[in-house]
Amino acid sequence: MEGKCIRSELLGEQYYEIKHQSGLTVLVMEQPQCTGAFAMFGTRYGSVDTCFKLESDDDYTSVPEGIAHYLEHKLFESEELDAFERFAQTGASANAFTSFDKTCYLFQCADRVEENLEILLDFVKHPYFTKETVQKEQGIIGQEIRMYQDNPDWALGFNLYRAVYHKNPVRIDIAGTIESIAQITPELLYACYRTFYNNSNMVLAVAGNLTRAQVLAVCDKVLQKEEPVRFEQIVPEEPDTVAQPYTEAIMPVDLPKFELGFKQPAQPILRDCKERVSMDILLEIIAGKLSPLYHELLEQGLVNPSFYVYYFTGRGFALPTFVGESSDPERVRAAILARIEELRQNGITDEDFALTRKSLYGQELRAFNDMDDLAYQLVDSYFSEETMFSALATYREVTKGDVEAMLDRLQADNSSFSVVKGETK
Amino acid sequence: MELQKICKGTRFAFHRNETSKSTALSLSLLAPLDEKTTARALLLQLLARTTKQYPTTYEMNRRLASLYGATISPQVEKQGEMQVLALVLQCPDDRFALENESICADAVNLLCDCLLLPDVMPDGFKEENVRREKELLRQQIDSRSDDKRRYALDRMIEEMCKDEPYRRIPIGDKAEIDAITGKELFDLWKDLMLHSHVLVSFVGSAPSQTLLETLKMRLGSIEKQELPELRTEFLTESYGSQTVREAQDVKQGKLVIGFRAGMTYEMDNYPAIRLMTAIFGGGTFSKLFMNVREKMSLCYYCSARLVRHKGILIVESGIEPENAEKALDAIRHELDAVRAGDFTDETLEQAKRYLRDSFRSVTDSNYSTLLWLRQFGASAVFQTPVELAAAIDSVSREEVILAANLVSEDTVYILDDSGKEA
Repeated sequence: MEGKCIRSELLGEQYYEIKHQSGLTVLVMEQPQCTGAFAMFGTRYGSVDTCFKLESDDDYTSVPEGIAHYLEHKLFESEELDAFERFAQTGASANAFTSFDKTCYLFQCADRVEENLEILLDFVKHPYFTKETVQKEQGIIGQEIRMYQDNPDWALGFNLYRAVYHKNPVRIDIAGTIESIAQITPELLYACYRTFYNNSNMVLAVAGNLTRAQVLAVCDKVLQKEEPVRFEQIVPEEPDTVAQPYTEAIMPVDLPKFELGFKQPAQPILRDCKERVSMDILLEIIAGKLSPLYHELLEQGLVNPSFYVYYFTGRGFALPTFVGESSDPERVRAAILARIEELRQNGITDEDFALTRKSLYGQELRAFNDMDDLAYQLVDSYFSEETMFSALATYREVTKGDVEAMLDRLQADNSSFSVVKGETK
Repeated sequence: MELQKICKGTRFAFHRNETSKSTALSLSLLAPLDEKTTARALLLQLLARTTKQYPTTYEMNRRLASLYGATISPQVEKQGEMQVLALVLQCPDDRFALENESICADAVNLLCDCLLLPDVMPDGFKEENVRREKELLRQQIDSRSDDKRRYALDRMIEEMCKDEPYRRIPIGDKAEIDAITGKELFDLWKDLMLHSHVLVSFVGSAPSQTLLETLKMRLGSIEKQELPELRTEFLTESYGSQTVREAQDVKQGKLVIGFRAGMTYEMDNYPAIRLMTAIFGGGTFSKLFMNVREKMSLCYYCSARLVRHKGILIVESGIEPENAEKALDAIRHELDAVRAGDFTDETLEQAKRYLRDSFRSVTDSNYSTLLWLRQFGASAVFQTPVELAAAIDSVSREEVILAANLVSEDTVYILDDSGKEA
């Protein structure tokens, strides 16, 4: 059997990366001690992919906002039994999600793994869109959009991205707007499908109680060989500076919410593991739960335990953020900026570095317990052009110097601050 | 998966997962939902935050970090008319320590310290800590209502159960926070130590016998006194349906309907009602999903679930405000259809298969397993997911119809923007 075995001695776990003859990359993590399995079929296509053409096309296609997500919903439908009806025959729990840079279809099951896998591959590879079925989904997705519009955390994040970025498509709402989804047609859906749902742009990840031979047999049965497609995309050039330093929205919340983000250089498109791990450690040292700053802010009543730090990254975007709730967001912002300056002056102590690294390394281990996390990480690491064990290994190798080098990336005059607060009473 | 007694009033429910990389251990104290609910929620936060040995959040958090990012978090929930106060520990296994340190035993001891050795003065919890936690609890209660789906659900239950203890939100009532004192919390802590049932749930690869010994030593040191009987009032039937409307500045309307499920205790007719709920609105094959969402395109979500510990069934949906009545009619129509036996044998089989599959998958996730173990609170019955799947498999079509006919509508709650300026 072809394929390479990727192993972590530390975890005592391994998986196989196999190039199937259809052109699809297949990742299998055999977990014989499990009852069932979790599978995820993903494409490197999300809300940020807004303007593209196949090499063979003459013109670029610009698509309405929210189309990747709309396509995800519509793929469940077919000319015969739709995917939900087919999974109802097996008892599996199926779902899908669309993010900024990928779309994934998944199921979890205890029994009949191969049958479920066949359904998953089959429905994703057989699009069926008509004017009527496309029309029908507007009510459903319209309500999904309304639901997000009432979510203050959703608004907080997107307002921040719109403040940081002038043009980067990460500004666009993943689900689109009521107006934009009204422009979606079967033709546009097929154009997206042809470009991004080629086997060469996709990956199948399976973790659970089955062998790679079983997985490959299903692939043999369902998947046709596809010539890889080449496509080109227009990514608008993004200026180095933020669009707006401050943005604010009024929503019915009692306590104001805030998110502070620091703009990063536009390149590279994908951040490597060392950068992500170094930045994660740095953010944690600045204001994470074990930092003196978090403790001070908590004692002063300026933050609560919902506060967290997060390096938001994906294909084409990278944004270190500090997120929380506060009666006085501006004071929290000032305190974070002051702490960053202080670290720039005095450096990071050996103790802080060692303790933070240990803590994050320990938390990273938790991601290797459950099948759903395993499958998700297989897909994610593959699209990031790394292995599933890269981050864990990097935590053991990263140095204080790597972390200190990230301090230059956090510049107050190139940051944006998003606030969502209630009406002044 | 099994349940053992640690000492009087204290039980240990565990599932050994040899390939797990970490330990999840939840220490739950069980108390009635009553006028002390808010104070207990506050107490739990205090206990989770610091200990006598690590008296500030800074010291405590650094200690947790040194245990490889172990976390101890307070989680409060309702189980029927019982408040479950859980301290949840997560930590990696010893074999991943970079310098061969022990992690798990130290972390479990730290968790026990949270409960047994809090940072108290002879006359109560320190005022500055109490003040801080009061503010944090106030904020937590406030943010709970930022999530409109959650808010609508809380409000429906409050209206439906206005004369029952179940109306209470498990993290408490903001209006009751001010009056709480450090002394009162101290007394409450002593009372909980002596008079509450405790359930320790554990999932991980650590040897359960070693853990059990540690827990016996630490928790067995408390001389449990008389333990209260924890009872939940089950109203088997509604006294007529009421409708409550509320206006807020929201883009999407929320429709929540509460039904009495005809149960007299948490296991009463449970497999049949659980299966009926699945057919009605518990999966993508269900009547609510197939019709209200897929056929009528009225909503993104419309689903039913059973709250077995209280014997109520709840339907939730997010809709365009002007469609509220239409959705309500459609939901009632689907329930009537189940009552009339208007579902195919295939749907019955699909629902069984779906439930069997999801129950059998529980142990494939540490988190789901922990939640499964936790639901047994002080219950005399203990069931594994596989046992429940088997019980559901043997339910007949007639039993499903019978169960649906025991369900009675109690409260319709609608949240929308009517009466607010656009």
